[in-house]
Amino acid sequence: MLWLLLACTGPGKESGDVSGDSNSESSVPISITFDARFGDTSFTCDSTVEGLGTGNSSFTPTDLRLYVSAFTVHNAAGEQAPVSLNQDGLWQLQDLALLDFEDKTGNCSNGTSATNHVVQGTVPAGDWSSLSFEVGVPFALNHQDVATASSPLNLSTLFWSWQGGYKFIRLEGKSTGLPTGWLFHLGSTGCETDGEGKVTEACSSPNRAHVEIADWSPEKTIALRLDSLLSGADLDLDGGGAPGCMSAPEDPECAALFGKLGIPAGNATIFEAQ
Amino acid sequence: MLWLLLACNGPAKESVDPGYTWKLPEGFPTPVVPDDNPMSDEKVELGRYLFYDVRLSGNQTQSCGSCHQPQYGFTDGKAHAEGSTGQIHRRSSMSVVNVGYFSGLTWASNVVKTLEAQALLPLFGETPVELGMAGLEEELFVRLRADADYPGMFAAAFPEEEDPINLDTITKAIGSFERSLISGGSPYDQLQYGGDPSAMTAEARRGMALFFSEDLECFHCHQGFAFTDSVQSESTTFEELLFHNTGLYNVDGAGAYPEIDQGLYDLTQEPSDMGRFRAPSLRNIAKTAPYMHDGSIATLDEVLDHYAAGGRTILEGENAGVGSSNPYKSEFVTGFTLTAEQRTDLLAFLNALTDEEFLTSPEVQDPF
Repeated sequence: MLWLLLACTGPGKESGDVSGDSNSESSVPISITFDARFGDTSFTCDSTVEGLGTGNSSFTPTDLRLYVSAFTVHNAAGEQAPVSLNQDGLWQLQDLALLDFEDKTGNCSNGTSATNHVVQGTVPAGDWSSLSFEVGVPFALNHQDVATASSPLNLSTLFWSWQGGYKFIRLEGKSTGLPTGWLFHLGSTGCETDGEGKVTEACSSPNRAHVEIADWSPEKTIALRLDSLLSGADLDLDGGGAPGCMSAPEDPECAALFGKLGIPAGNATIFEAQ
Repeated sequence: MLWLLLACNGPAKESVDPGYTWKLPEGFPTPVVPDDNPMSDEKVELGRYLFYDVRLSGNQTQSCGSCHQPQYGFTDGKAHAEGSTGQIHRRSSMSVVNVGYFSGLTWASNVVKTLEAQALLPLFGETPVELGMAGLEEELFVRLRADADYPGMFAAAFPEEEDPINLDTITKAIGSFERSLISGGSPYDQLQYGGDPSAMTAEARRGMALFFSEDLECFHCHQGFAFTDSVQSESTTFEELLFHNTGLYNVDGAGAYPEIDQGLYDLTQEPSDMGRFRAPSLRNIAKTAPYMHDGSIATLDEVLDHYAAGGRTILEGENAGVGSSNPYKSEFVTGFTLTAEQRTDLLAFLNALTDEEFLTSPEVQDPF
């Protein structure tokens, strides 16, 4: 009977813990801390950052949230183990976590007061020296019914209903040239649904970014280098498509951003262990 | 154990709508109903209140019904919809009449196919802002819980829910109301299905023959009881969801539509999807001016000009171009010539697709 109930609701907490079992005696807690920064300056909702991108733009950020998933630790021998995330009912669900750097104050008006910079879970005890993860919502979670989705997939400002999924990254701000907003929404595109509205196979552009961080240890903070992400884009100019990038392959702003994220093939280069 | 299995899969097909009686016009099949949202009178009535309730917008100025008004055939009579904060939509509001029969929703989407999923677009969309509820869903629940009537109405519509006012039930109730919006009482229906030859004028009857002729080809895309080719019903076995480029634009000589809206191409990035949109139903079409996805044609007479030319030519401005030579254009938009009398007849037929009784019926009106 329990089994049947699990089958109804999809993979439950238990099914994510194939290895790295949090109940195992050999597992240890792990906290992976992130810091979103423009150079040496952390992201805040009350600042304007100068000298960004190809246009040396002045940029006032208004939102920064991103879904991250599939955290995996690796050792020098080439062995790996998944990070089993704590199922906190809030920021983490299965192997997905939401990083939220905006606090709905100052220039940020779209999000939530709560913030989250830390991914928490357990790993098997070991000498883990590098880390990998993905930016994005895993396919199995990305195309569910958002009206009944569990936290953190129940935030309407991260719904991406016209594409039938979620915004993996929501980074927004205002510049001198685009005072009404420069917007970056990363998400899967080219998805198709069946007659009942369910996505049946992978999208033509999944747009999930793969990240590998060598020379890593759990004590280090992972810097999300927004200045690096934006370095190839002109934040004062809309070169076509949406002002910024809403993941349209032909949008000129997307090319610069996708390159930094290693999309479609490659690794993102905007994360650094410090 | 059997009970649990049923809970997983939803009720079986034949028992989807226990106790709900469809008011189906002659010739109309039963609409498709999602397994997890069977129809009920309580849901339809709750959905009607929600559809017309301005508390469903962030600043409490607009409801679904602001852009889908019965007197305009459930559109807003505008070229471009205007959201609750004044932002202008790139597209023109579509009719929601007979929407339960459409195999796809919005002007061009191969993703959004259920009314429950579609409701999320106007509620939470931010480019542009429509109802402007993004990030305000908890406040919406608070507003509805504080109402004198809603808690009881939600409990009656969703008796199995412990805490029935939530996003899932809101979208399900609105979807149920929209599925109940079935219009099939126009003069055309009275003649075609009711067998009453006096229901349509001689002009309109001649126009009907033209409409369904191979000379004009209208009926290929505007076919059947729903007057569209993207239709589904309970008896549907294969999905039919089609999109067409009608040569409305050709801004670069190579087939491009204006960058602001390139139809299905915006979703798929497939070159052949450039300028492709879903054929809207023509029911109540005389009430839904202006026309096309962007409201760029003011009258039905000018719509006939567009199709007679096999595509629109725009002489000046940033959208200038010869639509008739758009390489992605549908093979059915080849152009035709009409005499003045034929034009009058065709317009009379299109006007005979208006179902006044439905559009003025109390059960589809704003209850507030």
